[in-house]
Amino acid sequence: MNKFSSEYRNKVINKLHLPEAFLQNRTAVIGGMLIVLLSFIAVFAPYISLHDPLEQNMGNRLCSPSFEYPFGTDNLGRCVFSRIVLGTRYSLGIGIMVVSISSFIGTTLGIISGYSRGMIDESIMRFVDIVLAFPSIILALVIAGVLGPSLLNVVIALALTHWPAYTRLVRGISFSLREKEFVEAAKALRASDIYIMRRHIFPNCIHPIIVLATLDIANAIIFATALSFLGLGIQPPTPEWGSMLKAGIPFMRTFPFLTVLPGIAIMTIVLSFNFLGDGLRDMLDPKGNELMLVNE
Amino acid sequence: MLKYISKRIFLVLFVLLGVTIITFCTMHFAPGDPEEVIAIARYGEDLTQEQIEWVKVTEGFDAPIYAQYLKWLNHVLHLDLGQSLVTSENVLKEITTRFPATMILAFSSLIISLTIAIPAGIISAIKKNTIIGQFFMTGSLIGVSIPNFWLGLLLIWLFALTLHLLPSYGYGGLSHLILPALTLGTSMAAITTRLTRSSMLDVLSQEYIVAAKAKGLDNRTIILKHALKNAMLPIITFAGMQLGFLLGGSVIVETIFAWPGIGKLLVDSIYARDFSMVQGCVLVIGVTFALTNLAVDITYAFLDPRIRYE
Repeated sequence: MNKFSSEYRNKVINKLHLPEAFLQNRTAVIGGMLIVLLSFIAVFAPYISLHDPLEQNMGNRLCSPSFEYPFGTDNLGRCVFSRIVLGTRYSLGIGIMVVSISSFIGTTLGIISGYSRGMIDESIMRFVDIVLAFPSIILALVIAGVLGPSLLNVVIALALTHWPAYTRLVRGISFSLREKEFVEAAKALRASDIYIMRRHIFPNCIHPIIVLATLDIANAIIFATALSFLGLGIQPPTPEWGSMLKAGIPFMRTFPFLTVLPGIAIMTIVLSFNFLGDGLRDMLDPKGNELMLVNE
Repeated sequence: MLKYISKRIFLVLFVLLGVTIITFCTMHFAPGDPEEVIAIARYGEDLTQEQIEWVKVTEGFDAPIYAQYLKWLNHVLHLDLGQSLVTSENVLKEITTRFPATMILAFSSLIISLTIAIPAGIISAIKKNTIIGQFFMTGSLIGVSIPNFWLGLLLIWLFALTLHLLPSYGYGGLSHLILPALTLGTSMAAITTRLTRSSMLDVLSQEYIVAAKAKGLDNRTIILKHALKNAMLPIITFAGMQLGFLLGGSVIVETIFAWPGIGKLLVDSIYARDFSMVQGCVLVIGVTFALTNLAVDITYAFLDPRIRYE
């Protein structure tokens, strides 16, 4: 029964055309709009911020919000508003970079694994099992900790731990598509394996990958801020939200907004990607797996 | 079923072997030679070439890498995880003293999570297309999106700094446990709610539920007696993943609340660049995780007749 209903649903969506179906999903629209807004802020950060986010002004330490400093100033007299605005770039940038790298690696391995089956499939999937044998935040933490704190190392650590989810997802699809008539037909026409994987298998994996990638950006952003919060990611004075949160802790009793504001920023960006991803899943991949939302 | 179980055990052994390889490699990810890293941890930044050479020879870094791995693996199999590079404590002993604290935190968080998530998941499945269902779903999305380190800080701010009801950090009685368990438990509840809901929805669309309805049973009996039992199966499978979530989350939560568990030990050892302690923690976490997943798979086989009679 479920199978028919999802097929029916896909037909309805095709009839409606995707943009219209998208507009009917309220949370997805809210998420999408927030992402557009945040991307705008990230791109035009230097024009939006009111002060130099790194400029210290000891005469103005720990000011309450005012007209000149909308979110007040931190313990070194820096404008919190400008720092949060610039921080959008780091979180959004890391999220997109991590997901681009890990989805590329994961998808490639997944398609190869499902299409070739046999020994190659077995060895790739066992490797996935091993990487997934650790809670991914722990592996990322150790890699980032051992490599040393920097932006590049955060991206490396997260990309190295995020790709297996894509491999598992894509491998399943690729595995079942191999038997389909259009693949048989392509083979009969003597198309090469690489051509078949690229032109016939990959296009059928795109929708679930988009859903997973959207949810995974949210995941990667939380992990990246967590690494910075622990002091193993991006270091001060860079205005990254996780490290700003950490820097605000000593002043929590008297100036709680130093910890509250970066947290709200993180939550907003993560929530908008989760909203969008959740909506996209309902739309593109209605039988999709609930477990995708997990961030261990 | 014996075949199923033996296959699972074989796979886990393979994964465990991989776990030891990855753990061993973490040391070699570090920029610079491992002997230099150890020498710095031991003697400080001012090093002479002799000190580095001394470490290289005594720690066996002059051997080829596979020989080093096999030697290390041999020690690990004899439950010898070596000594801390910083404090010279026995690594395994340190980890076993820290382990109970992490388990206490993990189990209390699990209880909090299930207490919230199972009722919330069932209600949102039954009231799928109503405001209440929407409310729970949006709520759980918001819950997933709150970073748990921030949630922990907010709870400290509210309950410890403002209301002075609970201690903000440390280890001791029940009062110390409440805030960390609440932080970890509520963030996990958000995910478990969604899982319970989707598993419940799956079951509710089955034909035997329709049959039960046709028989004229009231909704309460159908949900509690027929649906819930079957919907619980995926939730049990999920317990393995939940443990992963708990172990991962405990790293952050333990650090915030200065909870002396294995997660805090791991982070502290990373700060101190105490790589043998890091290796020990990663190994113990990986092994715990893999064995729990094995236990879950076997339990599942006993509970699910479709596997039991295979």
